[in-house]
Amino acid sequence: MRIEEIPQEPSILEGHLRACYAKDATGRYVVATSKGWEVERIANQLAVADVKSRIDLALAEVRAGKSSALAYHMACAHMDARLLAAHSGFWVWQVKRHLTPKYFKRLSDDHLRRYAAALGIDVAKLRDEIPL
Amino acid sequence: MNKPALEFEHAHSAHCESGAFAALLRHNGLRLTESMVFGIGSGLFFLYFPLVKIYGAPLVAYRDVPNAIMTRGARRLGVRIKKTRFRDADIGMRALDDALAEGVPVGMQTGVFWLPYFPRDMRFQFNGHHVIAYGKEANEYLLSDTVFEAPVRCHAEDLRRARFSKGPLAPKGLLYRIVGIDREPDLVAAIRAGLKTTAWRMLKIPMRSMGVKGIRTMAHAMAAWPEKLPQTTARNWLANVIRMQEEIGTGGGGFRFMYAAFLDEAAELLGQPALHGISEQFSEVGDRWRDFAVAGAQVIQGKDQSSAAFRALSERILECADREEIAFNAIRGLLR
Repeated sequence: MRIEEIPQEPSILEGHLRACYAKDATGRYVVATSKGWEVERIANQLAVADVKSRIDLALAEVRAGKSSALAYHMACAHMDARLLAAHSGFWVWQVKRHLTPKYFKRLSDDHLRRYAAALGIDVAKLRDEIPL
Repeated sequence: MNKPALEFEHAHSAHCESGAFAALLRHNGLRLTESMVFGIGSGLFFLYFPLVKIYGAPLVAYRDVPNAIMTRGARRLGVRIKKTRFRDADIGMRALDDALAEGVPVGMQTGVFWLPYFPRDMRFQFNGHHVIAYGKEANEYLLSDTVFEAPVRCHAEDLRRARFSKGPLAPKGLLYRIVGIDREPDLVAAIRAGLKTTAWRMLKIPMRSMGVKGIRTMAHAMAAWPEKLPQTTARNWLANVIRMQEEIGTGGGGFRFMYAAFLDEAAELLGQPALHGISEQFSEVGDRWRDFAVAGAQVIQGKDQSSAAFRALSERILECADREEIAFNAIRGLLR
């Protein structure tokens, strides 16, 4: 790739620059910058949409009363039960239980705090906040 | 209370680990380019582990596992690194503060998802990201994250979360600093060792999922994705390959351009002009990988998602594999 071939297209970098290796006019490799590449945006947006669809699915189940709020916040943190278990220190089977409204309601403040810390949110948000 | 931030030269790099390691070496008086560090540490590789799923897609990597570049690079350059991991996050954060109070910049392994200065759409659960801390002001750390064009700041709470992220590749608060350095290392020997390891691993490693064989395994698997998988899954898996090649700090073309840059430098230092020719071959492989990404993006956008389209992509990848095999064989020939 030569410097003038580096894509400078609207992408996912939010104004940041990406370092690329490309050849300058004398044929020597240098570190040059890219504002982004349409191709990387297309691939990235598919992955972002995939996460979004998991969040939407979780949200629908929370609203239908099939899952607890924990399921929604877990999806927002790009986690599954296994990863949330690793972050919170609960066992996977415990996390799976707490994903149901029945067991989630019984969680002590202490356990709620553990989940909130694992998800990087406030306890209040974990308990009450589900977007409408 | 906090000491003023120490002088630290930030250099924009393509890859976090080679960039961070090169920056720490430079701070300690050994000036090497990122590509040189990448080559000496045998960073280039290929892995395809379909049984390990990342966000539901098979694990694909165009480079070796995290920390491999640093470990090999340090050994070959005669650099001693002190690595510390922590069970307790409080102790881990205090150790970071202590190092900064001593005026020592430290490398850290972090989880990208928890770093708020990353663009939103790039924050995924990946725990192998390397960053250097070089100062602290009030509750914010001054970081040299080499994949960014300038130094960044990160709140202590966020950095703590990133350093003690859990799951695959959990960093366990890893801190590393250089404690011994040879300012005039035997670069020729280091480069030869780097070349030898990479060429051996790409060509001879007896595993179908790694090296050139791994590239071919992935290509053959990809040709069958439209028949084996639901359409959306096939698309997501393809997108994942492109992301690993271009989005995750590779310098373009899945690190192949960075490797070409390394080979050019190596040609001078080893007095082996033939390496310039091999560098040229890697430039071409990088271009072919980029062509694959462009064609792949068109498939993703739904212009044509037939089996024939995936087979055409597979052909492109197989061509990359053939070219890399030739290039690495040439390197092995030179090292004899």
